Amino acid sequence: MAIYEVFERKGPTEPITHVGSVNASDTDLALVLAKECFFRREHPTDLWVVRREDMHPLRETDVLEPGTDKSYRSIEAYKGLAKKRERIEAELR
Amino acid sequence: MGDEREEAFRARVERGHVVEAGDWMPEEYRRGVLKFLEMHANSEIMGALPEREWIPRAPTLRRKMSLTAKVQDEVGHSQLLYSVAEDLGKSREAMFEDLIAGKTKFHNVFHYPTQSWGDVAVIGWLIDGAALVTQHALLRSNYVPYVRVLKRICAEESLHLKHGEDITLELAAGTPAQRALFQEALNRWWEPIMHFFGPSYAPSNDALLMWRFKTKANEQLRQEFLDKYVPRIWSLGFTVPDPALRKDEATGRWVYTEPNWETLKAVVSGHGPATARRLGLRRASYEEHRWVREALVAAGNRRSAVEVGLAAS
Repeated sequence: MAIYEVFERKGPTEPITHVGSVNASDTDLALVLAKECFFRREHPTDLWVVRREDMHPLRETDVLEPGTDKSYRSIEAYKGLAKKRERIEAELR
Repeated sequence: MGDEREEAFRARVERGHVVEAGDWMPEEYRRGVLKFLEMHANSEIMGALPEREWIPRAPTLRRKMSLTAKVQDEVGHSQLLYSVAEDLGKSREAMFEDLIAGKTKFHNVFHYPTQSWGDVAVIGWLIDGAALVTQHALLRSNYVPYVRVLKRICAEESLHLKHGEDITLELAAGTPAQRALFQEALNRWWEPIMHFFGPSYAPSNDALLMWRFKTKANEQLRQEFLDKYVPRIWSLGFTVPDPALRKDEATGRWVYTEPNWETLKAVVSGHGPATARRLGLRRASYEEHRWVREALVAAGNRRSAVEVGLAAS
């Protein structure tokens, strides 16, 4: 028996998301169990199972933190642009 | 053979069904979509080059960091797009090699030199604005692997647009010399921007539109761009170098001087003012980094061999 992680895609343009796991002897059974456990009512466009041992999570997740200030990469860095534009337009009038 | 399946495919897409990479598709659809995606991917990686030239010359540290981040984003977009294109049956290596050999295309606007910081404003605001108009329309494309990466690309491009608008507003609020810098850049870039959307075809002549891969015709996209950006250019006190440009209030459509389409044809077929230099840069970095790719493959092979050895022992 092996643990299979279960993933779904809710609609054709949505990303694949994790929903949980099942314990099964092979891929076919894992797919059947995944369908019965998680999708009795929902109808995703795609269903995936992946053996947990084939997944490779990043262990040191602290490298995912920004480290230094990277606010210039965010849309909030440009807040107030509309006001800036209005001010310039008013001065030109 | 194939005709029945092709008819069924056409009927399905006309009912609004979507297409996945693994689905059966007519050869014309596959080839058309692959060519389109390859061109988009090429454009992202080639589009990073004109802006990269301005990283060392950015006026402040903040501008330097945000421009660097933007260039990184563009290269990242090309990676996402090459992956989507690869699934339609052409390897990444073949796409890179065709690009540097000048066999495949990239957007006309990246065939031009950048001459001043005003160009960075025009590229960031108006060229990214033009690209966003076309990309937003493609969020409703029927080739859904493309749509899924476009969602991410559009989110990042929206940030680039703000970055470009911010630089533009700074120049607009600046000294007469700063305003002149933007105006001069706009004058040079206007025709390439009009070219960017392509000539206006009858929809029946645009195969990808007929397959519902594209959702809007070139002229419709150009009209949307003009509608959104021309009033903003004017309200900042700048002018557009086209005396005929105006909105016809009766039809709601913009009237403009027809750009020279022969110029576009020449530029995108490898005869733009900066084509040779930019492709030279791309070729040089592809060649100089060949050893890195080879070393990675060799290291991967050795690791697999070790794993196989461990499993066998």
